[in-house]
Amino acid sequence: MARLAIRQLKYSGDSYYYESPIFEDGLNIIEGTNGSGKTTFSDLLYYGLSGDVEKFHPMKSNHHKEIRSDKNNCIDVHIQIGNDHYFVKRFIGSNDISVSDPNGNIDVLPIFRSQENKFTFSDWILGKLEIDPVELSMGTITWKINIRDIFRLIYHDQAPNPIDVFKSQDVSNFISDSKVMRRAIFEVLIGKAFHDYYKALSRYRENDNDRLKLKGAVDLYKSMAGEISKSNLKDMNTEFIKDAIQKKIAQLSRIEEYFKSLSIKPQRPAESMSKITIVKSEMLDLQLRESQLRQKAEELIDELSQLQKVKTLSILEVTQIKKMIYAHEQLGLFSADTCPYCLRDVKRNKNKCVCGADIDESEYEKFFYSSSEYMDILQAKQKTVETVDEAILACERDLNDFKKQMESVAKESAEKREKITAIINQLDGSVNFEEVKDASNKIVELKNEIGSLRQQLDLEQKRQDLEDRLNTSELACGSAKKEVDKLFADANFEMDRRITQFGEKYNEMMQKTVKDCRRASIDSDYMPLINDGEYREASAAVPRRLLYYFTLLYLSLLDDGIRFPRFLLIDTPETSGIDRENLIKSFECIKDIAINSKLYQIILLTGIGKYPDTFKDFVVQTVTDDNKLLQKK
Amino acid sequence: MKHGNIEIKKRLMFAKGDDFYFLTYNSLILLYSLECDSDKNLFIDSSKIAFLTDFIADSNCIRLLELSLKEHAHLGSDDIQTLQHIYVNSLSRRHLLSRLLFVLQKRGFVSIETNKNDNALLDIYLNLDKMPKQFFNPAVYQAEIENAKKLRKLLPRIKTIALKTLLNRLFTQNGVNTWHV
Repeated sequence: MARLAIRQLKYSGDSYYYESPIFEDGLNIIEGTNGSGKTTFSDLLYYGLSGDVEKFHPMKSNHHKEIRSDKNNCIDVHIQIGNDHYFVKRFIGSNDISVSDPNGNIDVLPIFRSQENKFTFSDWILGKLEIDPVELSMGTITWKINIRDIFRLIYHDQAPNPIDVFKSQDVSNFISDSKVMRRAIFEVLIGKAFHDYYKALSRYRENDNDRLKLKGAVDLYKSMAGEISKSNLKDMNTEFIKDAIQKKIAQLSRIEEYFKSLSIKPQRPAESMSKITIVKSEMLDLQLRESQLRQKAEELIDELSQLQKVKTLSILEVTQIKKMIYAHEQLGLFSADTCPYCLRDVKRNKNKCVCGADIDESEYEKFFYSSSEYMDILQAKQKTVETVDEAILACERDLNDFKKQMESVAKESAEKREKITAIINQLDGSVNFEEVKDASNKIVELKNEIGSLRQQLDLEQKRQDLEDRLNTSELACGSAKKEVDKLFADANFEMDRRITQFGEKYNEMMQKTVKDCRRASIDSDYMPLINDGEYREASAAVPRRLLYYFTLLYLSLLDDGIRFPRFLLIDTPETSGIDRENLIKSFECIKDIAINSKLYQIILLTGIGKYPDTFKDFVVQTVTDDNKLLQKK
Repeated sequence: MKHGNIEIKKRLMFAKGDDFYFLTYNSLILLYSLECDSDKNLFIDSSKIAFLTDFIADSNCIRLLELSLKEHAHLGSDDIQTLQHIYVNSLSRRHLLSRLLFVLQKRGFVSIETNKNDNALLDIYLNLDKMPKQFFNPAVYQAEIENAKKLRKLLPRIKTIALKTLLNRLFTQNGVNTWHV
């Protein structure tokens, strides 16, 4: 497995600078007096590799004076992972780290995950170290293991309470510092199968997450389908919906066809209009004729009434003449020889006038009528009555004729009028607004229905799609779960072996280091257990923790499958309280670690001379009060 | 031929309204119907007769009077014209009628007396006993007798009424233009 090595650490600010020596594989010791800057080294290294160092925070009271006061300060770490070299640069106060390789490729990576930046420095370096950033869940919160979590078993800091073994959290929360988390870190770093298990678990969780999301979506669609079934739309599968849509479309096209036929403008309206004009003029002619006939009829009626009057008068006259004749016969008042002046009878000679002059008797004008003359007049008058009667008859005949003509003309005229009305109605009738309204309403209705059905189809298809995906996801989940279960069993089996291996080495080193340690092991939480937990000497706390770290390194050298990156940063363990002898004994255990000529790196920060004499060659730098780590520029 | 001409001429010259016999029988029936048959039942002012003969002769004319006098209806222009016509005809036959009355007086059928109050007026009455007995034959003169009775009903004081009043009632009141006679 890939291993991590620090080749060089540099600090550079406006006021201070530091440049470490080149660190080789194996042990590298930086010795120094208290306050000379050993811890500054580990802080800088940890900070440079994305760790959080409280002392570098501007607002903290115990902040690092030199670094906080410095400007434009940054940390450069030259690291090697496997065979590849990288240059990691982080400015103090910045949450971005730039990573460049010898070929000049530069990536700027965030330390913290955000919506915009999913890929962090931790993801990058863990990727290089072939450690999968496994996800751990507690309740609703998930946590991805990051490089800072890994450092808890790599970086042996100056812990005020070394009992915890694990380096304390930069920023602690109940998940990241939980037992589960610590177990996971240990398992990921040590257990080969556990690594696979966590990877599979993470995959399973992703699958399960997907499955839950899909299930939620499917449930949503189901409830929507429920809503739909509550409305007018029926709950149907896609085939039925498609069929329903096809039917509605066919119906719509028929109605649209019908609508088109309704809304067709009257064909050749000009023709209709000219037809109307012709019929209208015919009708006008007829009406004129009718009015002429009516006028003539009125004239005839006048004539007839005159004739009737004449007839009445004539009849009256006839009766009156009869009465005259009667009176004449009764009274005999006048004769042809009555004097027109004195009205007395005239006695005159033949062929002589009353005045005595000669006269042709036949030419003698008589003023009075004789009975026979009255009879002539009567006859003539009666004849007149007959004539008038004839005239009346003729007149009545004519009138009847006219009336008949008028009737026929009126009838014809009415027919023409009806014809015009019919043509006009035909024009009007070609657009039946009620029908058009109905048809257009129906079209809108159908379109809405089709729209709803399409929506339903869309929903149904999505639902089916989601259900398919859910099925797939559930299958995947099932198999992932099985894999996880299997891996968990494997891992547990392996872990039992690891615990035994760990315990054996740890026990060996602890017994070598702590005189009254009879048995050292780790419990099911992978925490050290000395003399079955009965040993509580404070002086053993430092080796207890330190040897735990050494054992981890040892195991990684023992088995290639172990992800522990074969790197330790150990910062001044003696500060937690240990005598020199025990400290040196603890350090001597490092010799036991180096096996199989496998490469590793330990950077050890310790007091001056506080190491086995045999380690003297491994001292790469000595810092003192006069020669502090940070040099003023 | 000549004879024929005369016949035709006479026939053409016949004017009913101016015929002596026409005027005679209507006048006699008037007096008869008004029962003016003695000096105690005089028809005052014989000149009134000329204006009444048409009403006796024609029931249509009586109908007009009935309309205006009895039913107080307004006459139409035709009716007024008819009345006008009657008035004018009556005027023109006044002279003819007075000659006729003297003929009748000469024959003894009627008696004519000067009005006791006004010398210019001549009163008249029938001498029924001088008349042929069959003359007022209802079968012949029924219409005229009826008309006369109606006239008497319309104008109850017709026998004694003054000419001017009569004309006023018959014509002037009905919108007919009359002039002083």
